[in-house]
Amino acid sequence: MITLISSDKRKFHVLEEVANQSLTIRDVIEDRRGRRRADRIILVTNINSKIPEKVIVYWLRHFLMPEEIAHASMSHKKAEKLKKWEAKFFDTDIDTLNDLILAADSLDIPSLFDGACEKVSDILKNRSAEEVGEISKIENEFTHEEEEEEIPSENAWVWRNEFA
Amino acid sequence: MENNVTGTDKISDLTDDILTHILSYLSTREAVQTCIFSKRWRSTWASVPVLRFDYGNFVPEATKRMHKESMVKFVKFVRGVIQNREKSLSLDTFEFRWHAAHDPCHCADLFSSECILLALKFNPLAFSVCACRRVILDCIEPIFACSSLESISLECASLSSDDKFLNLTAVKLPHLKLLELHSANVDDNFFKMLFSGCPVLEELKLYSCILHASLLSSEVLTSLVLKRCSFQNKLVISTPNLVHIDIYHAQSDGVRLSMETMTSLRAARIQCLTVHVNDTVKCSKGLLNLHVSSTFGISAHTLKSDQRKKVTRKGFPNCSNFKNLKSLQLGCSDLNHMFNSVPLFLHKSPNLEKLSLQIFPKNIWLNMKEKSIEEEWRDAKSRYEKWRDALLQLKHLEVVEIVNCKERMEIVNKLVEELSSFLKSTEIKIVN
Repeated sequence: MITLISSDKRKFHVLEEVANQSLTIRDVIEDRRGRRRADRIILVTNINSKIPEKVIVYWLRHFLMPEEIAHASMSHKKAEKLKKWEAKFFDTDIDTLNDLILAADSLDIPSLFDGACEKVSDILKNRSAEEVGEISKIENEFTHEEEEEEIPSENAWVWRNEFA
Repeated sequence: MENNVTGTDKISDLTDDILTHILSYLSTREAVQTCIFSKRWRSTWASVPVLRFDYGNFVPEATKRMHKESMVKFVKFVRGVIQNREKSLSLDTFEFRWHAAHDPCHCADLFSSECILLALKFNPLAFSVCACRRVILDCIEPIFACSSLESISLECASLSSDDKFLNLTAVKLPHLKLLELHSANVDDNFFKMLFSGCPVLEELKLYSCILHASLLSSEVLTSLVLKRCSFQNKLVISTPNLVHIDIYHAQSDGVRLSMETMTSLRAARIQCLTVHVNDTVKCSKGLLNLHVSSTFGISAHTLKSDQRKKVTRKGFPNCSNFKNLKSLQLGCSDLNHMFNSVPLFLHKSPNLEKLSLQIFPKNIWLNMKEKSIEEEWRDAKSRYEKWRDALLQLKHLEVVEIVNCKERMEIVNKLVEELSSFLKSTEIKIVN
């Protein structure tokens, strides 16, 4: 059993096999192998408690997944089920996704990282630039004069192509 | 970074690496549109290692036909991106989709070729193109000589058997793992050049292709998918390391396949109108899942009647036992056929755990008379005992599934009734 401690001091107990899905954790455990129990505690200081909860849920779901998935055509139904589950899992607000990306990045969980990034890209997709600014809390940083001045330099071709 | 925005600026907190990763899921147009409003992101699009151009995004939805304005816009955009992108940056993925149907006079052929050739200069890893046949045939040589490629997908509009063969003169793809072809005419020479020039090719997927070849032989191939292909000759598949084979929706009648020893095969699906069986299943001791279905299934339908008897009596003279086979799906046209083919397989696979039986709906029968359930039962009765005995022999059988077919409810019900009369400890269920 491994204990993860989040930035707000909450503890999470996870089976080693499950937590092994994080390559970072796996390496840490590998390094400390053979030592006492106290060393099985891992501080995850850069993320708050809401995120480890989600990460662990994700781990558990994937842990239960048998490896046969590789032969997709044969276990089509299972693959589809997982897909549905993931769609639901990632259906959350952009801040959470953002934190998930950071957590997956630092814990090195490739599939979670990719999944969350894809979802963010989905949200960005098909929205006009202004809306994107709103979602990502970027305001249009250019004043009108600046726009006039700056745009022709590097992105002029885009501007003419898309908005003229 | 000057940022006078108050409050959290979550996405902008992410590092550039993550940002470009997120943008790499978008089409290049979306990525550029997303970027240009933010100072910080402004030039981020130029370092995304993915180029994804789809003409479909440029056409107003209402118009289906060629649209001059959107074509000009598309061409300008693609040129602009390629010219303005970081020259030193490597390219992971290049996708280019041109809809030939929008361009009956081939106005964009030259432009498409130009883009493809330019993209190849960036040494991409994954390469996916959908364009006119002419463009693909023109560019085929440079594509198959681009040694950085790990996956290739080429697609063009529907073809006829008179179209030119995909002709390869030199192939140098030392890293290629996946090849996907849509609508191509391929012959023996193609396979020969391909497998000799791609030493690590693991996956081959052919969709809607016409195969004039008679031999497909590779030492390294692990997965083979042939979907909606038509087979002009008898095809010998000799791939000892194949793990997964999937042949379905075959377009030609009487597919003749010969599969040589495949000791690592774990999953197979062969679904054609007719399969010539005495050639076919001569494979694999490690097979775990097998799904064979054809309208006439396993009975060698096109053989002459005397030969046919021989095949039936001998079962599969050439096939080894499927000792590891755990799940088997058989599709049949009628009861007679099912009673006939089931024992053939079951005698060879003593450890079967799950059996799925499927009766096809009527419309895919070829020249078959309609029969009532009573007639069918009477015709098939002579084989019934053999079928029952074969099923009773299976010690590990846990589930028998019958795939429900609305048009043939009577037979499905009859089967369930019969099965449950003698299989006491096996679960019998109807699935959809």
